[in-house]
Amino acid sequence: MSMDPPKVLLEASFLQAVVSSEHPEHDTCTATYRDLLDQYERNEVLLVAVGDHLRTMDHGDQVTTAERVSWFLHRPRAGVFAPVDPLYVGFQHRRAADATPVDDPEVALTLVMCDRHSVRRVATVDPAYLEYDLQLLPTASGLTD
Amino acid sequence: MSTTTEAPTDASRSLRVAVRSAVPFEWFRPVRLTLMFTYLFGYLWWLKVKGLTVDRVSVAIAVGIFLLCAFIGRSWRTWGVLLLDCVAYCTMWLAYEKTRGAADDGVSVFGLFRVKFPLQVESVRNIDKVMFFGHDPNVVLQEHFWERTVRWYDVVAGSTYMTHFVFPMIVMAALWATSHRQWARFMKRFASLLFIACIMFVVLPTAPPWMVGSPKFPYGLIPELHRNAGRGFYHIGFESFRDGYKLALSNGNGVAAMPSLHASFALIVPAFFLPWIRPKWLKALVLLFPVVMLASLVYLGEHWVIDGLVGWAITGGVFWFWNRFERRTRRRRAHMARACMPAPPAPELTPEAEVSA
Repeated sequence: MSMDPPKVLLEASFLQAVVSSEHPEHDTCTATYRDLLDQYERNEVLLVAVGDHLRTMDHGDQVTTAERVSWFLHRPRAGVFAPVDPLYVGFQHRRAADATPVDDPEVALTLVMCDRHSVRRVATVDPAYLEYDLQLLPTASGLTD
Repeated sequence: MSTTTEAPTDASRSLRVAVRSAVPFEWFRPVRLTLMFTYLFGYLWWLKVKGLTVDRVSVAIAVGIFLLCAFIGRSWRTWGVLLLDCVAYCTMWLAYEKTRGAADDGVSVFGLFRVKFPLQVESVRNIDKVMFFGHDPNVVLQEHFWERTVRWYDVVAGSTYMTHFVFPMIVMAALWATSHRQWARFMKRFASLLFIACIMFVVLPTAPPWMVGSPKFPYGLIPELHRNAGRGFYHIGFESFRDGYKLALSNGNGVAAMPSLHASFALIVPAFFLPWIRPKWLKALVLLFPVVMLASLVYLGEHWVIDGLVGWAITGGVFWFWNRFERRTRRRRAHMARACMPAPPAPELTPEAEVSA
């Protein structure tokens, strides 16, 4: 039994859909995210994301080593993903992701982080997660349960 | 509009691959569990053979060994965070030990002069007398219950008294190993309590009842009290283990009675876990512990009743402050996120709604 509220992992495709107004799932994902924010405010869920994915959202793809180190030591709480806690990725997680039979390395890493941090609910618009025993958000999207 | 998902049906779930089977097994998980259980047995063996570790350094070493067992195989970053946590933890205790002594010698103001606050002796005793209609609760309890032989309530009082030295530390270590978030929440409250207590020890040095009644001190306001807090604990076969080097660290302060940290620590642990306890009877039972602690402290002559009540009040205040702070932080972050998102579409008004509007 965990003392923390249940974690909801915001997967890379979901993070992208929330920030990009051009994304076809943008409206659905922002609506889901708003709902998750309400739950977060009531301390009913913890919002988490894989550190690598969240850092890309904070800094973009072009990130300097200094920014990377600074972010790794302390992530500034600002912007649309201010409530989201990063799940920091260690060497052991990358090694475990490499050892999975999953083709997509990002999906493999996300699954490893879900396993290591006991995450059961994942917000995603990537159909790759359909085959795993996870509760997927958002329901309004065609891909989910 | 709610868009959160419902649990998948059994049929759809059965077709899915379990995440655990898709990723490599984490071999360090059973290793950690085995080590932690081994540690538990080792601790119990030590408790029986050597006694209960009560001095700060020995307790810190015991916690450190437990953390080694609990963190084996975790990432380098987790170890780094643990190291920082340990530094903060040791600094907190060191500051506490050092400031306790400031009450005796006063506080130096920029090296120019010293300010020494007056020792409270009669004031606290008078407050207790007012609360108990002219009686001294310490004296009354010892007159009625203290006997030459150890009775069952001596065992209860002595054991409850001794839990102060290990109970919060066990909780800290367990939280450290299981949830860093909850550990940080607990430590914020604990450190705040300690900080306020340190200030009060300096500003309001207070003589405990045993000192006020002792012929070795020039007060003599109450009859002499028996002072052997651990006798009930020792009676059931336990001892307390103190290593010699604790003397180098501990700068014990005999007049650090206000507030009672025994009473505060006895409340902070149940109060922290209260939201997770569902049955009301169990909540009440858990909250009985600080009451038993305060009764024990008064019976053993270690504290005035008002010391314990002030300790509880500070604990309550600390919880109120941090609960409120954490709620505000969550709200602020959520608002920050909402402010960065486009406004949600306005709900379409039905003709009936338009009329009512």
